[in-house]
Amino acid sequence: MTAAILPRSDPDARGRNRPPDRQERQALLRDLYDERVDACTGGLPAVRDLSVIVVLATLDPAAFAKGALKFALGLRPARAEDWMRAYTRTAFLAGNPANLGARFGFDHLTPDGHAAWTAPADPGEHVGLRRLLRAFSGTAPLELPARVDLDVPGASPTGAAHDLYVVTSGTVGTYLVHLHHTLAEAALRGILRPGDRLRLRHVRDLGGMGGRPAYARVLPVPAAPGRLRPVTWLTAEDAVPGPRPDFSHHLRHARKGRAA
Amino acid sequence: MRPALAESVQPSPTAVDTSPAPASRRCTTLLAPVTVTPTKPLTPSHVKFLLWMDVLQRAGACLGEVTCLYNHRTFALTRQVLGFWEYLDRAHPGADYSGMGEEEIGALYVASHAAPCTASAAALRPYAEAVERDGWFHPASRRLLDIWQEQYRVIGLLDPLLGRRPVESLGEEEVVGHLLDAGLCLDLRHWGGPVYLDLSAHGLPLRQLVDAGGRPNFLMCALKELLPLASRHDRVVLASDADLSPDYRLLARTLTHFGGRVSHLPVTRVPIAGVTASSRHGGWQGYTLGALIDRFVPEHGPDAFRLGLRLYLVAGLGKGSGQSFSDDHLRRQLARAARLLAQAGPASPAAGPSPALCEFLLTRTAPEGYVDPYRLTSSLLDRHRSVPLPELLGTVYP
Repeated sequence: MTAAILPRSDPDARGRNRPPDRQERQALLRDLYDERVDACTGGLPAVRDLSVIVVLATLDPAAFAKGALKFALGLRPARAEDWMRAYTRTAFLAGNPANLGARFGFDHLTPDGHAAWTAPADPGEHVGLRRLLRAFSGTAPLELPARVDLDVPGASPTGAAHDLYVVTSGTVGTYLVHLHHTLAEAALRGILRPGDRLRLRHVRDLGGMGGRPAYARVLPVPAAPGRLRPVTWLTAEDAVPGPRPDFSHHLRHARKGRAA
Repeated sequence: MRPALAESVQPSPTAVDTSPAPASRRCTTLLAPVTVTPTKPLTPSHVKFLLWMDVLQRAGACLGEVTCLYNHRTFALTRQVLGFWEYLDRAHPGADYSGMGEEEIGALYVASHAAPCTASAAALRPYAEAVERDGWFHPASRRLLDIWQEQYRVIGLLDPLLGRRPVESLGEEEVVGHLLDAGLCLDLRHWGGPVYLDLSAHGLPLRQLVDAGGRPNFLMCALKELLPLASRHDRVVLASDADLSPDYRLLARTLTHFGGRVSHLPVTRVPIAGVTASSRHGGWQGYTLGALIDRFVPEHGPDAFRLGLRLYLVAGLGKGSGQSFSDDHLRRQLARAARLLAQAGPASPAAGPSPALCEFLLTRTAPEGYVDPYRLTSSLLDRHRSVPLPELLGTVYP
């Protein structure tokens, strides 16, 4: 297995490795953080406590990412909007969908049958699954291929491509959380569209990333109050060849929020 | 490519097979009781359990082939045993156990559980490795096993070397592989997570087999030996004390995926003075098997003691009477045993069980197919039925 690499050593990063000014950097991260809040809630309070459960028998990053994108893009608009307002809350449980399908209705299943998504629902509806299964978690340092390429499912290739950098300094539990929020929210906001190429890049650190991403998952640094750090970084698309399908209806309120 | 389970482990040459040579294909039964770990004296609960197994094994051997899987190594890898050994070496370095009695070692076991600090995983690892690599046992446990071997002879257990014979088993990877193939396992070790037994298709929660630190628990230890053997038997009878029933039901469910008819026989513990407690809490002083032998064999003789102990612990206390152990009740059964032995006369050696005995045993089977030790032993106390007493006593009750 290839070791994860730092983005600054990646030739595809193309000038994004200018060390940014620290204050400027924090201002950008704050902006990205606020942008996410706006995009998720549309300026409204998160009124519904919705959650998705992902059941995983094993983790294959490409199959998982494609499954997450297909699930998010397949949600009915109203349901997608509700889930966004719950900040795409998701729990990851170790389980074999093949053993559970007859008793629990899944909204989406990967072709290999190793991962399944429940529809967003009140956590009370997931009590049965939570009683049977345990968190998909571990304590080992992550060993993931440095780069995994995939196409956003649902359409023929658009020619557009994105790099999605994901930090791998945590455990599998945090990796799943960061990657899934990013994929779901980028898809629901219309940043990632069916047919786009996605280059998933596993890196130890995102400190050297320059420019403004199309989406980034930004979190407070626990040891440094007031400071933020990115854990994923989705670059803007490389090319836009002609007209593209519009999936941003998933986020009517978010668009309204941005227009305001 | 993994070999099929039935081919992956050759039949163990040391398994105790009590059956006479089969004239034709006979039903094969694997009897797999949880072992009593050699960390404390045998108490009435343990003796009851061992005698239930002895009756089941001897009676079953009249009707088919019975193999008893009972290996102290299986459960020596649990924290309960390894932690005791680590405590002994830490708190009592250089102690000589060769002359110690069972109650002395049992007192150390109670003290180990009362000790404020518990051993780290790293401290237990060398012990686990020595068990796995060399079959090593701590001198305190070896001393207990020597004491037990003599006691087994006194109470007439079929195999006085019970638990000391090596048994071949699968490796952990093979167990995980077979379970994965059957869709019964979730392996998170690559991520630094546990291995789970997955019976969620049956509505049962995931159960850990290997923890996040890589340590197997007793279910994994049991599966290493059970998986290859279970697939080669027509019937598997798992037996445990009632406290372990939830995990034993999981084992039974798992083994049904690999062929054979699997059942679980729970045997309840015997309270002492109204208290049903684990041996680690003490309270067994004066009620150990050694104490009972000292108290009753000189007065009643070894033959009546063997039979009377079975009448009391198998038939008298039954599956779950909840009655506390009583010297008076045992004494009554010892007297009854003496009368039964006198009534039956000297046992005459026979080539094999008679059709009449087999017929009788078949009327005492449990719905799961094995001879029910409680129903069979109770029939000895029934004056109104025709019981093939001399042959039954000579064959099933030593």
